[in-house]
Amino acid sequence: MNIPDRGVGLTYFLSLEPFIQSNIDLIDVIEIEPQNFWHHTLSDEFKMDKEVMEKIKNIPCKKIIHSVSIPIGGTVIPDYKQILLLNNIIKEIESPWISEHLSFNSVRYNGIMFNTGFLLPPIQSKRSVEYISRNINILKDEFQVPFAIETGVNYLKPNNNEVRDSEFVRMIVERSECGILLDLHNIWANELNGREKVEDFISNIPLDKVWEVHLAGGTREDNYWLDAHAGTIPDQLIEIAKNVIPRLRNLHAIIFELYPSYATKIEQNILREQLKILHSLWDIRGSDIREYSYERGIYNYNEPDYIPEEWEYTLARLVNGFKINTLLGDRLSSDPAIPLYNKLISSFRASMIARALPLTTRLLMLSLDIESILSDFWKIDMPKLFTTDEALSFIKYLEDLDLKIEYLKDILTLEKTILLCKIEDKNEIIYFKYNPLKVLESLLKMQLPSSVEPGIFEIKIGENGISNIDIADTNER
Amino acid sequence: MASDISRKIVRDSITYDHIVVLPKDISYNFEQIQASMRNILDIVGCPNCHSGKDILFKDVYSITRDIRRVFMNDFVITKNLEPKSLGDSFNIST
Repeated sequence: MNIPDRGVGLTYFLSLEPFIQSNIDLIDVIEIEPQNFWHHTLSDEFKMDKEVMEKIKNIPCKKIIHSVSIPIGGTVIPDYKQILLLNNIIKEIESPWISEHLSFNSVRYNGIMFNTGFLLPPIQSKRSVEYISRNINILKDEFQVPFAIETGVNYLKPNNNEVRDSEFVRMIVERSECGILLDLHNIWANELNGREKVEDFISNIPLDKVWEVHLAGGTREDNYWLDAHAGTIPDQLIEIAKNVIPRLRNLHAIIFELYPSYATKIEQNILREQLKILHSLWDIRGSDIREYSYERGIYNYNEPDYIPEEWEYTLARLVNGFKINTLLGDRLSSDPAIPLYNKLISSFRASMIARALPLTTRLLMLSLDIESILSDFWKIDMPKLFTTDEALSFIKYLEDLDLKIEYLKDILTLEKTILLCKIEDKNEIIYFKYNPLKVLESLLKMQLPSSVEPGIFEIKIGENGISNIDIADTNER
Repeated sequence: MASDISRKIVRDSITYDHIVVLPKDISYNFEQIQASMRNILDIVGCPNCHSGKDILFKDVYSITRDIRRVFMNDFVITKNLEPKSLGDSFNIST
């Protein structure tokens, strides 16, 4: 398979764009996670944000695509609408391959589909390999470019009824003939959290299939090492990379992953140093000419007595705080990773809301115990995949609650309209019986609004959301 | 009143800045309000690219409390979690 080299780079986010532009001498490639910039419309369509797409295209380096919303590790068939849009983006930015996670993020059970709120680990069984191979074959058929799976993180305890992490990856790759995106931070985190050692994992997978490597920093939480993309690459992981990367003869890219919530906490010169480290790793790729072999074939283990569908439903409900009274539910409930997953999902959901509804969030923070409001909301509503969906669902919840907080109703209307204009590409005018700027300004200062100027005011919201906002005192017309 | 409010559309790229604080003495600075909310572009989609914790909510939550505490002294907390004096040079995107 003739795949071109793309070199060294990092994950693209708008917040990292100034850094990327000013350090482009060290950046051969940026990795795009297109779904970060997708709009999910009310009619269940997906659209790439045009403004962001233009920015991406104008960055003077190569691009590759890493998909984040149609993971192949579950029993649910990948969404064709998303595949279609991904294909368009592949063409537009000329990505030579595409990758997705060996995880699942949605569950269909008794005809009902719901999102898990997190990339969760599949059951590692032969039956699961069948489903995953089917998914990979669908994506291989549909995508115009070669497809790779990303090795995932798994906080659950190892289970004797499952094949080992490396064997699972190998079984899938051998059967599906796809590439591997080797996330070294993920498998290192797995080792630190009690799963397979990195050395054993590396010795048991077909390294000639590794096209791309991810490196990142993590954080510690409740005795777990989290794959949080939270900062610089730990020294120990760099040493591991120095041992592994020489063995990768078909490596085409090394990507540093950094999540926006943490990006602002790292100084630019430190970030630049990370890129230099990646370049030194890139220079030693494939330099180990020794022959390595790995064991092939199917391994002896006890196939679990539950099917992948039950695993997915049980795990997804447990990590979202629901009880499952089955044997599998009882077994999984005793795993200390379940409350950890629950905590991480809550952090994701709350942050999605805080991003999409900055004014509502601040008004609630200043007025009442927002954490108890969110906690109650989690109990009645499963997570949404897209930020706007989560935010709109929370707005509906608050509207039904009818909290007696001054300005809340208007702020909800404002932020709901901004979101809808954004995802539906439309314009709206909303009216206020007072000058809303004073309220907006106070909330952005993280203060409760005090007095407001009465009058009839309108805010015009354009298809680009708040960036097109216009305000006028209609009394002066 | 309305004539004091700029109609200019803010098109500049701003740094992702979820801990936006406006200077205490700014009055009806519409461009800054617009710019403060531009981070929506970064977030409309699916954020699940990692398996860690998203600290944005906690950051905003703790900053909200800190801001309330320090505002009495004409200080704000920057995104680097440092108190900063409010003055003409204060920039919301720094």
